[in-house]
Amino acid sequence: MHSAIKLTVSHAPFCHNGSRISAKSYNIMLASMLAVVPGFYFYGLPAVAAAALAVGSAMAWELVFNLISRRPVSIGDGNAALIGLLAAMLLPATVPWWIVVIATFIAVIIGKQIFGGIGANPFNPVAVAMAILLVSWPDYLDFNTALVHYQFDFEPVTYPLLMVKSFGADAVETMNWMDLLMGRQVGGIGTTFGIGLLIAGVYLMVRGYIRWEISLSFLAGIIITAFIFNKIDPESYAGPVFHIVTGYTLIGAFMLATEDSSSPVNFIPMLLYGALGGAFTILIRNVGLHVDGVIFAVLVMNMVNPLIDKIRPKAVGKVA
Amino acid sequence: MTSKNETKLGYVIAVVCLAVGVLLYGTLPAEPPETPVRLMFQSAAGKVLFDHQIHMDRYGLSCSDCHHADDDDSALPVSCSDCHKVEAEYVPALGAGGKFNHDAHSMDFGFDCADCHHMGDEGASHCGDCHQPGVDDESMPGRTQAFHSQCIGCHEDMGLTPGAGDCAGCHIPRKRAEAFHDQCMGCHENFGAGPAMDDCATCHGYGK
Ligand code: HEC
Ligand code: HEC
Ligand code: HEC
Ligand code: HEC
Ligand code: HEC
Ligand code: HEC
Ligand code: HEC
Ligand code: HEC
Repeated sequence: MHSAIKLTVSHAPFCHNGSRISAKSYNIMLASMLAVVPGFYFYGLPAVAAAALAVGSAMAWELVFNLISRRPVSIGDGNAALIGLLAAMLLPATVPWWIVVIATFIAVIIGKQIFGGIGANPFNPVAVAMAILLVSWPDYLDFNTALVHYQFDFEPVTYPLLMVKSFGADAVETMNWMDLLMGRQVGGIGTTFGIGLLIAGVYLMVRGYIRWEISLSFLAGIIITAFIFNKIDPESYAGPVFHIVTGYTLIGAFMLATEDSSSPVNFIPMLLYGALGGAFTILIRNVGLHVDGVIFAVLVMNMVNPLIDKIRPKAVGKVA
Repeated sequence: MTSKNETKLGYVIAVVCLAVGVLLYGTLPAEPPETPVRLMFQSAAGKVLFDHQIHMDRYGLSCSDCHHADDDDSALPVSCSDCHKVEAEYVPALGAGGKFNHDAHSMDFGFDCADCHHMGDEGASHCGDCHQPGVDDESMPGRTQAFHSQCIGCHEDMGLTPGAGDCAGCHIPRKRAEAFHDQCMGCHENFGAGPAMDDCATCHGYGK
């Protein structure tokens, strides 16, 4: 029996975990609150302002694009809101409003919508936005500069990754990983409270909203590569634990690398994708130009994703 | 939830977030605290992060050790670059290019040599022979103090300019970068602590 309905679909592969997009978006957003709320506590109202504006403006851009392209209004799926929240988490609390608005514009319009909207973007929209900002307005994203007016109860009040990069592993000797994990470090609104990100990550992996294969292999890639560097030259390169609890590592592992349409869906490809992303991150941090490597590593992996995802079990049976 | 309700919820979230964001950005004071916590200097050689708070609190310094032009402790010091401009050149008040005109002072204004060369015959020798830089006590003013009190003292007694507040009337202050280097490193050397002149990277390592 043939049904008359034809479904036009894009190419495989797909995977479905049974829930609506909105459930997924809001779950990730709620889990992220575990890191964002402490961020509000550390950085006060400016952080709230940036996060609210980011979520609001991301949704506004989505709506504007919906209207211009005469497509159904899609702000209900929560994806734009999620993009806005993730972008805010990566930014320093004192970021000017126009940077926030540009960030969400790039993420939602350039990173996602012009490729056809949700599910069609080859790159992680948030990573695209951050990469463009990092290249165009590095001073506003420099945590040491952005946060000079804040008084904290920990020392040194300097961005840990910059410290190793400029001054070697000695300079971060006094920073212990437990402090760093508890958010006693300088960084983005939602990137410093590592404990929160860890709990959020575990929750999202268990619920299946993100793929554990990618997150865990990303972290493994970081650990192994950082370990090798550290063994070769312990004076210049910090150890694996340091790299796990600083910069964008944890948010990268759980919320950036795992973005659906820019990451693979097959088992081996997912492991490879994650591990290579982690390794790239450390390569950029240790020998590259940029202080943190997560954003660029994610983009590079997005680029090779279609290739990696080709590694999959051969179809059994005849080929049409 | 149906997708209609989802969209409604979306509108609510968007409007609330935008309103909160705009409101907070609109009302948050953009001004930095009156007394800086940390300062990030941007320079051609790389950024320098200066922990003002720690320098104030921990090392037993007084404000005027650094804010050398602000003798009034009640007022907040002004920025060094009010006087030390990026392009300015170091020209002392005395000597070639300086604003002090010896001939005018000794011949035109009708003073005795001894009004200034207060040690009589020996007076022609340089004031700095006796008034050493850095040494300053009741019996013997230091070099800067000696000049300041004599030059400014006479001007103010006679109701003339340049007076106490008018530094630029006598000086062209040195370049901004030179002022920082001299002050930061000068003090570190005195203390034998903190980055010294050849530790460029320790200060300038905070990125481009
Ligand atoms: C170790 C040197 C040092 C000490 C001690 C110090 N300051 Fe400063 N302070 C600086 C430098 C350097 C700047 C930067 C000025 C600039 O950017 O041009 C500065 C800037 C300031 C400014 C901002 C000026 C402006 O308008 O840009 C204020 C206010 C200030 N200091 C107050 C104080 C007070 C009050 C104290 C004493 C409790 C003090 N400082 C002690 C070095 C010092
Ligand atoms: C109100 C104007 C003014 C301000 C503000 C000011 N200076 Fe000066 N400074 C001068 C003048 C005038 C001189 C004398 C000319 C010279 O030696 O270059 C001078 C000289 C210096 C010198 C060389 C003399 C010495 O004492 O060793 C240093 C170093 C210096 N300033 C550093 C600073 C720093 C750092 C700041 C800010 C914390 C600052 N100045 C703020 C006017 C100022
Ligand atoms: C307004 C004050 C003032 C008066 C009046 C004055 N001098 Fe001077 N004189 C100075 C100062 C200041 C210096 C520089 C000292 C230094 O460099 O340490 C100086 C330097 C000198 C020098 C050394 C110059 C050099 O370059 O080595 C001589 C010589 C001298 N004065 C002679 C005289 C004689 C003679 C008279 C009287 C006709 C006189 N001065 C009047 C302030 C004065
Ligand atoms: C031969 C050494 C010597 C020379 C040269 C010298 N002084 Fe003095 N000066 C002294 C001594 C000693 C005192 C402290 C005793 C006193 O108050 O007379 C003093 C005190 C002063 C005082 C404080 C006087 C007061 O009334 O409080 C000033 C101002 C001064 N000198 C300025 C100068 C200037 C300007 C010059 C150069 C034009 C100069 N001195 C050259 C030795 C010298
Ligand atoms: C004994 C008094 C006296 C002393 C000491 C003195 N001055 Fe003067 N100064 C004058 C007089 C008088 C004028 C002329 C003001 C006028 O004509 O408006 C003057 C003018 C000036 C001017 C204005 C420019 C000019 O030449 O007309 C400068 C700059 C100056 N003095 C610098 C100095 C410096 C620097 C010293 C210390 C080394 C000094 N003076 C010491 C009395 C003095
Ligand atoms: C009437 C003239 C006059 C005025 C006004 C004046 N100075 Fe001076 N100052 C001098 C003279 C003369 C010296 C001697 C050393 C030199 O020539 O640089 C001196 C020396 C100094 C020095 C030591 C420079 C060194 O290299 O050792 C500093 C710092 C300084 N003055 C700062 C100031 C500041 C800040 C002001 C304003 C608040 C000021 N001066 C106003 C005349 C003046
Ligand atoms: C009046 C004295 C003084 C001045 C001026 C001064 N410092 Fe310091 N600085 C100190 C002392 C004392 C220490 C303590 C070092 C220690 O205990 O290890 C120090 C330490 C430092 C350190 C290392 C410790 C830290 O806080 O991280 C840096 C970096 C530093 N200073 C930068 C600067 C810069 C940049 C300037 C100029 C804008 C400056 N300092 C001016 C006295 C000074
Ligand atoms: C104690 C800290 C410290 C050390 C050590 C230090 N600097 Fe600086 N440097 C500064 C500060 C502060 C500035 C002022 C930046 C500004 O203008 O705001 C500066 C400015 C400069 C500038 C900028 C000049 C300009 O006109 O823009 C250059 C170039 C420079 N430093 C080179 C060096 C070199 C080379 C070394 C080593 C030999 C060195 N510095 C060591 C603190 C330091």
